[in-house]
Amino acid sequence: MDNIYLQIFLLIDVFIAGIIITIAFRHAYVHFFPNKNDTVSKKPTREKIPSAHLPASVREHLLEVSQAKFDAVVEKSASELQHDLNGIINQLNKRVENLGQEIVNSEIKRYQTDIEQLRKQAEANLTAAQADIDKHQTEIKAKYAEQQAELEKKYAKRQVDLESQITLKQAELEKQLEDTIKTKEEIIIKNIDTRLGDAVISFLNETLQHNVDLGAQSDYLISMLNEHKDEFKKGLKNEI
Amino acid sequence: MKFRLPDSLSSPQDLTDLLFEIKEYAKWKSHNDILRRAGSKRTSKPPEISKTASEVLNDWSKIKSIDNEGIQELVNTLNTISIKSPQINITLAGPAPGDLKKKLIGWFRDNINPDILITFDFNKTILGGMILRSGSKIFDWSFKKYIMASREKLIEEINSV
Repeated sequence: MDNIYLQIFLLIDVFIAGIIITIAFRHAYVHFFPNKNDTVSKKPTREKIPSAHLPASVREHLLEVSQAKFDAVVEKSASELQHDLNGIINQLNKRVENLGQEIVNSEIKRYQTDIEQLRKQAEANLTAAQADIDKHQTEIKAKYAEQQAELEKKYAKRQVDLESQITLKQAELEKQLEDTIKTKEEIIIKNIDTRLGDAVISFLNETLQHNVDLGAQSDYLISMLNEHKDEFKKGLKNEI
Repeated sequence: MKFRLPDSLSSPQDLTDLLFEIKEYAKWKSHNDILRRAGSKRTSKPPEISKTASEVLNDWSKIKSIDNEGIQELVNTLNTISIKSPQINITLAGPAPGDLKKKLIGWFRDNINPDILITFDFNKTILGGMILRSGSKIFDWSFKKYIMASREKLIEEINSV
């Protein structure tokens, strides 16, 4: 915002200086390059001046003197004007320079103030942030410690549970293994016994079936029939 | 006195054969009696019958006369036996010798039923003893069965050796 006002002010100054320079330039131009028409036009005016009471030579002399004085006055005025213009220009330059310097100084000062303020603000923010960070860190540390303690507690409990479960499972597995081994042992022993029995029976079968003597068995068969007589009668009766 | 089948006749097939022989004999006898009554000198030779058939006729002659009616009654009796008498099958460990067959048939007819008909089979794998089958009923008194039933005891015995 301040920059805009400063620019407007400088533009106005430049405009005024332009006007003054233009006026000075016009005066200087008219002074150093006078228009002939102006002289001619002045001459009739001078000629119109009533000079009935003065001789021509005097009048001529007066005119020359007047012309000389007028030229001197104009020169003097031009010189003074030029001098004044130079002074004004110098003053304006100085003024503009001072103004610029002041503006620059004020801006620098303002910038410095702003920077200082910003620095302080930043420092304050940093301090606050650091404090917040410290506080947050402390909180996090506290929470972390709390959570760690809780986790350690849980871990310890879990470990105890796991150890207990492992122990139980181990005992159970050992028992299962023992049972399985025992069962398998029994099965194997039974299988061995069965196969041994089968082998013996097979042996007996192979051996005896070639040596069957039914004549020798007749008494045995009759005694067996007598033994099972009632059973057979009963069965036969049911069948009939 | 009651008629009883001879112990040499055991199976339904034997009875069928016997019936056939008796019927042939009855036919011959009837024919021969007609010729005799007609005063014909021409007579035919009696048909050859088995020892069992002659034994049956002999036994029957002790109960009834061997005339046409008596023989017809014998045929009827044998037919009744073949239809109504119980039938069993005996499996032995080998082919049964004749005397053993007779012994077994005699025992069954003395103790179970005098008209019982018995067929004999053999199966070496039963080792000894017998298997009786009557209809759907089976009585396994074979050695094999005993050995198999005594398997545990056998194993114990083997283990104790």
